[in-house]
Amino acid sequence: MFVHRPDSMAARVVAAGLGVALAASPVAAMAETPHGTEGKPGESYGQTQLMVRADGTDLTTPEGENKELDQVRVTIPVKIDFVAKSDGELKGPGDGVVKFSNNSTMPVHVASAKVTSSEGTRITTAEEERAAEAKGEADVIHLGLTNSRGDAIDLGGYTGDGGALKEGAWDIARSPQQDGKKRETDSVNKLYLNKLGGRISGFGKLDPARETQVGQIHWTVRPGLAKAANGGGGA
Amino acid sequence: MLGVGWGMAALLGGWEDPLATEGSYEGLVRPEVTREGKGKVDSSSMEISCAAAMRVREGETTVEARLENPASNHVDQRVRIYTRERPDDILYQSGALAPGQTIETIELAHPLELGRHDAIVEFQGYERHRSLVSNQGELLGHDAFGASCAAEVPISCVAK
Repeated sequence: MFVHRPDSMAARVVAAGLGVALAASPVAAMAETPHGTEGKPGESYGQTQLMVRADGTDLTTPEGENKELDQVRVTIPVKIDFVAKSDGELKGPGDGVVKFSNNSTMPVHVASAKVTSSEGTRITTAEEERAAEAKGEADVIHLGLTNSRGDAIDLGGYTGDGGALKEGAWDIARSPQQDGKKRETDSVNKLYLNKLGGRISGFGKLDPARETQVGQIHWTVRPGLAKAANGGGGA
Repeated sequence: MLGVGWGMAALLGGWEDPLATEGSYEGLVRPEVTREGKGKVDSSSMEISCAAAMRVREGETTVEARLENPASNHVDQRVRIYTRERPDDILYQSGALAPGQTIETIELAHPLELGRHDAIVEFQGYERHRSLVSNQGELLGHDAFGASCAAEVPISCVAK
């Protein structure tokens, strides 16, 4: 059962970020919209910490250039807004919005993820969140996503020491575009994080009227394409 | 928490890195690549850029890191480096780099042991022009932008 707070009866509001910030009542005083955030005025934001890992021994630029001249250059989403509905559903940005963009001199792949919860919250699997909700526990959060290659992950399964991501499903190619502006709109060097959403079991210590970071996600990306489970190379 | 460490450093030390210069490594390997325009990274993202592999000589501390805050970013960045095996041993920490600034060579806090290490190059963004200033005009701090990101690159300590 979703745990309501007396002052959180209003409908959807606010953003919970990966790192999560929370919903607020539309009649409650809103914090000033932080610079650079998406969403409606008054929505707060969360944070996400992402890690890109490059392994120099695996560098194989198409032109076979000097590895020591290769540059890792990746655009990483560091803020993801979620909207928390009054029923506990968390909804992130629409598909095709949040993305990695590989502007490096080589392909890269996201090798692993690690999720940490902030004090007072607990990021869990969907199953664990449902159980917590059934017990009336508050501040338990489930978040999930599906990347543009179709791989769906439950971020609650990447807590603790984290875990490896599915090989071949998190590759990000290098853009062949020479022009920076064209590379920006190129699709081959992008990996989108879609179907961003989840649930919060209820608001207990977390104040839905205030933005609160409830965790972080650390991505590890390596240069080169991951080898598929069958031994083949990634696309 | 790493965020706390970044904040305290901003309060205690200077802001801009005195060694940062205008530049870009976008064309490093492909000279024909044009420079990206400013402000192209969306408002919820940040681009990070550094050498994909680093090397230092035994007993020395000079490293070509090619740290860059791409001009396409809308945030200042600070960078720090440590190894995976010793995350509490900060080998390097920069001052702030504005978009379009680079630091080509850095000095590690101490030499490394011979062999290959996994270096974590961590970037923290800061809102531009959003400083906390006292009534006396003293700079107290800067507003962090999102969480930090990092690139893990091999750093090899080679014999002289």
